[in-house]
Amino acid sequence: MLTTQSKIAEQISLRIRQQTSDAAVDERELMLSVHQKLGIIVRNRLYESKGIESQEVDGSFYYPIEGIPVLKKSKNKYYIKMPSTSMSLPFGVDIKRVGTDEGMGFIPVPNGFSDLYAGLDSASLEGQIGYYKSGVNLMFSNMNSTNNPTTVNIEMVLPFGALDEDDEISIPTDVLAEIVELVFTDFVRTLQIPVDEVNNGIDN
Amino acid sequence: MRKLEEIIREFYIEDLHLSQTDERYPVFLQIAITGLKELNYDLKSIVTEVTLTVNDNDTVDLPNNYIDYMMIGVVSGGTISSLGLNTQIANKAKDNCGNISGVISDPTSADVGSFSSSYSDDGQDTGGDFGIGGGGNSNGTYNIFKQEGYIALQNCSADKIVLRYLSTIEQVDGNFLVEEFLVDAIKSFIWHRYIRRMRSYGGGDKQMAEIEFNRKKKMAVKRGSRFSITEFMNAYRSGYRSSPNI
Repeated sequence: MLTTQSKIAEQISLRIRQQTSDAAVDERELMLSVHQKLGIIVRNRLYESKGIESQEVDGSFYYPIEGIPVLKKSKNKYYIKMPSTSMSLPFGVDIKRVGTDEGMGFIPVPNGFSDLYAGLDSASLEGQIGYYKSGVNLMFSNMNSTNNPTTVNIEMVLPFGALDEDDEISIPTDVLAEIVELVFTDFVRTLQIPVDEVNNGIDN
Repeated sequence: MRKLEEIIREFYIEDLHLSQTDERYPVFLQIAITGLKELNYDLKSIVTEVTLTVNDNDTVDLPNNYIDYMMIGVVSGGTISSLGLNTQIANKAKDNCGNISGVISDPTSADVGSFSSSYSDDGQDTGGDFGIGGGGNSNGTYNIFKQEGYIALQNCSADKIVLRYLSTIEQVDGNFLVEEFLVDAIKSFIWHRYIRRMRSYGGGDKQMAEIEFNRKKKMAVKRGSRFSITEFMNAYRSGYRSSPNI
């Protein structure tokens, strides 16, 4: 279902007001919670899918970000700045594809690849370019002055850092219901705690 | 011939049922390369053949990718005639630069193969080389010094020899190429090696993976060494040639 982050936050905000009319919840706070809860749902669904031997993330959670400039750190050390924080999913499946418009995508490799595989036949990745996450950067291996592109595209799970609150996002309907319920429950529980109660023997 | 990276991607699709590669790719690639080498040792059908020039000192430099030889011979009349193995051929001495210079020999000692009772007083060969032993080869003999990286020849007049040998696997344009009938065996090897030390897989799974690999390997060896009906008939007929009726 096509929606936006602000629409989801608005929906949750309305439900909270119906529950507690005097509640004042900032929509930015709700959106942040939506991000976090969505991440949890995606991760849980990935682990659930292992039960049916699938181990896949629903394709609608992946978003392409295009034209990220490739930077050079030192000789034959190329990298890009990650356009958004990503989730921590097993075997790096939170990033579906890194590459240029043409040809095959680059190969995901574990952090530490360049040292462990140095000198081995597999280090060349059969002539392909590898990438691995390193802090806020995405480092490339086997990239040099002859094969480095000027920009790359990246397709990753829920890159909220690169999406505006009014950008259209596609969230499966069942996940949308789940996310609204989760955030709502979380906030209502918090709001129901009386915050101005003073233990002085006088009723509020 | 297939590219190894294609086989890895097929493994992702067929065995792991995934729609994208992940961080295990280099692990699978490394295992596949090991598997390819492992299978290469057993498949005598995958051999390399080169023609090598004989050096002035009766030696031939071994190729860098040499593992073991199948046959050493000379081309004679369009066919290859084998040289004979002579393990008594001595190692050559090296000069200060590490180049092979001559035969390490002590003229005072009795050197096997150089018993010189075959020349008459006037220098003519009398034909009797005692001590060489049977099994001599009219094309010449050889001995391989793998550590030193050369083949020593004796009594070989040819200026080129043919070496048919088992070589290490090499990349072509940055890719390992795989024989078609090894593809399944490599996929089985990847899975067998990948789960071999994993606690999340039971002993039964690991055993089954190993059995499957061995089965696929046997099949690949059979496919690589099978011969056609025509070849069979040729071999059969050459062994049972009927005598002419007079």
